[in-house]
Amino acid sequence: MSMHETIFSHGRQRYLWISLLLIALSVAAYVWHDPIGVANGGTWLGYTLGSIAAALILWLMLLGIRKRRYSSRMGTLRGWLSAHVYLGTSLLLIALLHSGFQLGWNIHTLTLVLMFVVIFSGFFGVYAYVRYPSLMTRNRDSASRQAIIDEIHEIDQNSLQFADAVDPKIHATILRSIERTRLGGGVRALLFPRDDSDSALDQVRAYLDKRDAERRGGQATREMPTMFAMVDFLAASAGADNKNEHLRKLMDLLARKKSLSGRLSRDLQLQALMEIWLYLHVPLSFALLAALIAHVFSVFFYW
Amino acid sequence: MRWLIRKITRQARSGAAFDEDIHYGDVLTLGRGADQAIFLPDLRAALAHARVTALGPGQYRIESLITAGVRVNGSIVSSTTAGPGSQIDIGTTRVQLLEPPRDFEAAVEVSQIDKAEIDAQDRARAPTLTLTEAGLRKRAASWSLFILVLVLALGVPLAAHYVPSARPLTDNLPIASRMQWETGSLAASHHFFGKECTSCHLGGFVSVQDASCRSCHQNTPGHADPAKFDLALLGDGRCAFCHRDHNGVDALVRADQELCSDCHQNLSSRGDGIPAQLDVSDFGKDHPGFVVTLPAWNSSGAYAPVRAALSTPGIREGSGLKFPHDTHLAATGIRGPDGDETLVCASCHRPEAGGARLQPIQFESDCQRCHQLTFSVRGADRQVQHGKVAEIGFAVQEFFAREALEGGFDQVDAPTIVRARRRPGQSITPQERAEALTWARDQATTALDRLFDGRACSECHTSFRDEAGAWNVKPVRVAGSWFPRSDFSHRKHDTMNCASCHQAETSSDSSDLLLPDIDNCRECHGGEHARGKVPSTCISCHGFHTGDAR
Repeated sequence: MSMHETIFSHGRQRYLWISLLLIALSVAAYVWHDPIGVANGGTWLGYTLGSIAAALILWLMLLGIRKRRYSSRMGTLRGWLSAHVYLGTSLLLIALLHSGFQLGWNIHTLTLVLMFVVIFSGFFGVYAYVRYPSLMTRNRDSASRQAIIDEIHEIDQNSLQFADAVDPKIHATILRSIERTRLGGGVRALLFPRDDSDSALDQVRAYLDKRDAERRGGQATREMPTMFAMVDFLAASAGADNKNEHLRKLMDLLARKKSLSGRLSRDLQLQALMEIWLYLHVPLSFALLAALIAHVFSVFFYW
Repeated sequence: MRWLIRKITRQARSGAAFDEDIHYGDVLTLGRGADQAIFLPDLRAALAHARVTALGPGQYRIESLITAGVRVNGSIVSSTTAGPGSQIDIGTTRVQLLEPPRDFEAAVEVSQIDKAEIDAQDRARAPTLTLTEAGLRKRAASWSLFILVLVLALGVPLAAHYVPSARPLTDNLPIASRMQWETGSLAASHHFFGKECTSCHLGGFVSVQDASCRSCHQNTPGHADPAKFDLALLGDGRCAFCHRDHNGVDALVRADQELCSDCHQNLSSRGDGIPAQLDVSDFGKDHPGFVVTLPAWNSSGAYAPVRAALSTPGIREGSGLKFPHDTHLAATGIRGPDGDETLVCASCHRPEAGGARLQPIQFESDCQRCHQLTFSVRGADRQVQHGKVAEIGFAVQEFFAREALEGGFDQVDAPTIVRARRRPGQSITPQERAEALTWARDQATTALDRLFDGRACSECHTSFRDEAGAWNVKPVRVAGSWFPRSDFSHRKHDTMNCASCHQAETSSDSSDLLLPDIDNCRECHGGEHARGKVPSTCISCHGFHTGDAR
């Protein structure tokens, strides 16, 4: 991290210092300024700060265009993003000073509120970009997402084979499990995945319990803490029974699938988290742009 | 029951090949088991996966025999009723229900789903892995919100502005139409018309015009007389330059020091006849001493008050009245009609109803209880009227004339006619009347001399005889308003002692000016930014709209 440049450290934190300077100047002017009446957006300082804030908003929205222009030579994208984050944050204070802290139920405060929501959603975006990529790398464990999906499909095929060799009921259970397996899903499923892949494993385990109970005449099976111990026990006690070998492999596969699908849904969740804030950030910044136009238009229309 | 089972085996070159089979029974079973009517060599099929029952001609019932269900026409069901044309997909095998041909009660066609279709199905059933695949769209949402906000926050209010007839509709929308443009609360006094923006705002990017203000405030004077001073020299003189509304219920009237001090700097150098007294920037640090209005009369005797700085050396007040405050306020008391009594300021000085100023002193209510205007020991309850010199003469003469003409007046030096007792109705001769009235006139003259020169009038007034020899007193006038250019309220200072500002107890002469100068005020009051003192701005004492400028 320390060796390469991030959006925070870009250009020796050039935009951090520019933002801090902008904030300091604005605060100093606000404190020094003695307006006619109370501080509000209609004083000369109010107009000045408002113009700066409006210009910043327009420029910040240009990032959406700049990031699509891969061939642009107008600064690096990292530089733009760095400025976007720092100057966008400074906007919180500049806009508040512009308003003179006058709030109300009107288009002007709506503009401010929209701006705040956009900026705070941006804060989540910054957090996501800093935090989630490394979590994703760790979670994938050097496998690609497609590799995980392919392996899950492969496991499905193999499980059917082993299940078929055990018992039609187990086969039906696995078949149902495969039909029911949902990788990814809707917005909600992507953001808040629920792990319900246990049922097949549970049913196979229940089948084992039953078999064991029948064989041992209803002896307590609860003493066997794990299914693997059980399978070992079965394998040892009835070595001739080929089914046990298949059962053991089937359970290995199911456990592997559970682990893989868990990792996949975590991967998809992290990916979704890295994107979801943009669905607030971008549309709301367009709502903000419209509110800003109405705000500026109305105060001068009814000057 | 006879089932026709038609199997299609596709071959790349030669096209489709048919293979027909007949099955007997009510039920057609499908599965991977060897005992199934239709054998499906596919691991994705259970040994006994599903069964189809023929209910009647062209009517089938499909039931899944395993919990996973069976896919009929693309969706997974556990059991359903279906007609010809329905497709059951298990693995890569498709079983299509048919209209039974002649001699058969039921018919199905078994085929392999072709690879292109399987691929298409796989793609359709491919997992949704990203938010975009899940149907979230930024662009549509962005445009929708942009247009929605623009229409509601700009379109609707603009429609309300340009189409007044639409206002009953737009103004009652759940989102206020033009009210959402309101930047803040109007001043309290403007609330009653505030819903109609165009009362003040003409729209079309024009700032609020003075004419709009004057449609109500037609009697509000300007600040200075425009004939004497060109206010436009000072810059923006619009009403709205100072009065900035929509900043809260009480923010419309400026009270800040800069309201005045911005202009009242070097004012005297900007125009002729502007007194240096007007150059003020701060009450505590930069404010001249007070200028007082003093009563005075010109050479022709008309009242012509003069303005003078309190700091003028030897300044005296010329009210024309003699009044020693120290005697009246003596701690040892003063002789009154009922013995000695101690007076305080409030014994004579009472506040006006509004409390700002004190009521004028009235002789009848404030002085006469002690200073009685009697003129004869024989009529101790008779007093002359205060303040009406001519009528005093008549009243006194009439009093003595009555005594003289009634007769029976027992006094040694009086003429006989006055002393003689007469019966009622008994007449006197003209000579006797003249004699009696002469005596009466003498008595009246003596009494008036005593009244004006001796006991009563001259106690407080300067009395003199006019050219005709009649008694009169010099004119009297207390200022009334000492500081007509400022608003001082006694009520706001009623926690103070009178003596903290007015040195009345030691004043032996009414020409002493008992008004404090600015230093006295500054003991408590400072400028707007003063620390440790009452912050007082220009507006605390002075008005702005006091001139004739419009």
